[in-house]
Amino acid sequence: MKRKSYSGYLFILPMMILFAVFIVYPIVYNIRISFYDWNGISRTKVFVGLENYQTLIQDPVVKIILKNFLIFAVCTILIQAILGLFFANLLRRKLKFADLYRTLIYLPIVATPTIVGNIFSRILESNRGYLNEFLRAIHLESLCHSWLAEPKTALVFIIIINIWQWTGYSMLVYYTGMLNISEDVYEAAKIDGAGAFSQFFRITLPLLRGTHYTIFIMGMIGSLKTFDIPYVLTRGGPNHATEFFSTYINTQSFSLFNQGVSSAIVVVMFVIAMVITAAQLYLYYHNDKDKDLA
Amino acid sequence: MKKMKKIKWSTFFTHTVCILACVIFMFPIVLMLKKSVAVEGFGNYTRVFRSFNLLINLGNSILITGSVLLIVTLVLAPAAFAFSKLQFRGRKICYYILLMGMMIPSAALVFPLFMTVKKIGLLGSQFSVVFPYAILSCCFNLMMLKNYFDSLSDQLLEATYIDGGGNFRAFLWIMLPLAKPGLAFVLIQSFLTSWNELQLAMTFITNKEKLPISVIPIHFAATTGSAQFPVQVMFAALVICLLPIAIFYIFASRFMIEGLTQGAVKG
Repeated sequence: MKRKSYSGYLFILPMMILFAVFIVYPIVYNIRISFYDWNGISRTKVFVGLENYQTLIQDPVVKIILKNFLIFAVCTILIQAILGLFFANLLRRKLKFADLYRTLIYLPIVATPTIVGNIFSRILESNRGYLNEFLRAIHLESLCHSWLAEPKTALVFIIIINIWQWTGYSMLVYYTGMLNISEDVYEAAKIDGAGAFSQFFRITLPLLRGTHYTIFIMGMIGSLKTFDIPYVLTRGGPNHATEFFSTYINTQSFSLFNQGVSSAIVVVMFVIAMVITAAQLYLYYHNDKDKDLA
Repeated sequence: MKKMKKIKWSTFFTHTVCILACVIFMFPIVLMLKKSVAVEGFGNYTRVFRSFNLLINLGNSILITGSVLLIVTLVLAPAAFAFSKLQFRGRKICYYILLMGMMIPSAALVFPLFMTVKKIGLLGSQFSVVFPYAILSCCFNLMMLKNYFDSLSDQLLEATYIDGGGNFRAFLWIMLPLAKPGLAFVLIQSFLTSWNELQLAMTFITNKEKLPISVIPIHFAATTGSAQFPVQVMFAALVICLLPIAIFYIFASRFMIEGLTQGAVKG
């Protein structure tokens, strides 16, 4: 059996120290600053209690951020999960070139977001963007749009680019989950006369429950963290239409110098992250009572 | 006979769908490659090197990710080992607190760390981002590496104890060599996230000479289209910026996907 010892603390000490300095301290710092009026530069800050949070409640941009976060999370998680499941199920079978397909579908994840952003901004640009040039070439000028300058299409394309980039991840996670389902289950189903469809809906889908949780949680956290693509493509515009938590925090801190408000948004974001984490642990361990918490 | 034919049709269908998907997923990359040789052909690439010193930025990226990987190895491997194989009071609590680090967006850290980095005089230096990247990677990969240690037999540990060895010997000479595949997978993941990170790097480092290569493209948008920097030259520059990580992926992909699928992420 494992033996009790104190050297365990020594092994985890370096990570605990880094964690305290670079994760815990910044969060405590933000909580403290969220009660002050401060521009982030001057020596004096004024204690204002909950005023920054009141500002947030009245700030229309905060409503947009919450709305964008929800729309973005629902759309990307659902579509990525469906596409990921679809490809994982295709590539689960013995197939020539399956490795190559997997590698290529996973590739966008590795592509640097600033590069991806630059490519797409060239595609979607209003005047000489490739999408509009293509539409003009096939005489569909009426469909041309200033894709990134119109609020609705800008958000849609941010979502599409995210799906393009992250479908490979869902595919791989589902593929991993499918490898854990015993082939015997499928054999038994086949003997009972189950076709490919009912095998998928009656066996694969329900047995992947744990994987669905993983995909959901990772998707929620990813949506909360979204920064790179909206920053590079639209800077959160037009008129905050593609504003997310991270981009707005960035603007408040480094362009508007409202550090108190910025910190308050961080606190709100942090609370949401903790709620998601708690929900995850609950879902994960409530349904499987036999699972030990470690 | 009839059955044979049916199987072939479904295989044909699968391949068609997969090829179509690959075309869609590769489209922006192929477009970039194609546009990068427009107008002046490979002359675009020489123009990039005339106006940018991307090798310096590549060097910065290597310096940053290299330091991150070193720290991740030194910090994460012992921690994951301890959480998996050693008993001590508060083990579970510490583990779950550290796992919460996975959920923290870097936007929540950026301003306080900016102040810290400024205070210790690292602002603008490549090393300003190293520790934040390292600890974020550690938190993100703790569960994976711990699970990998879990899959290694406890009996090996006991054998070391019987021989009179302690935990350090067991870790360094028995468990760490066995955990190499898990560690390699974790380091690949850390490499990718550190290489591509944007927010902290662009905030802490403003001097172009010190930026990692992944941040450079945000400066392209403003200048693109001018006489010295036409669109095709920008695409050539993008290709050069993507090249190192693409080469890395070609070599690491098999290992990454195997690592993911062979249960490095169970649980």
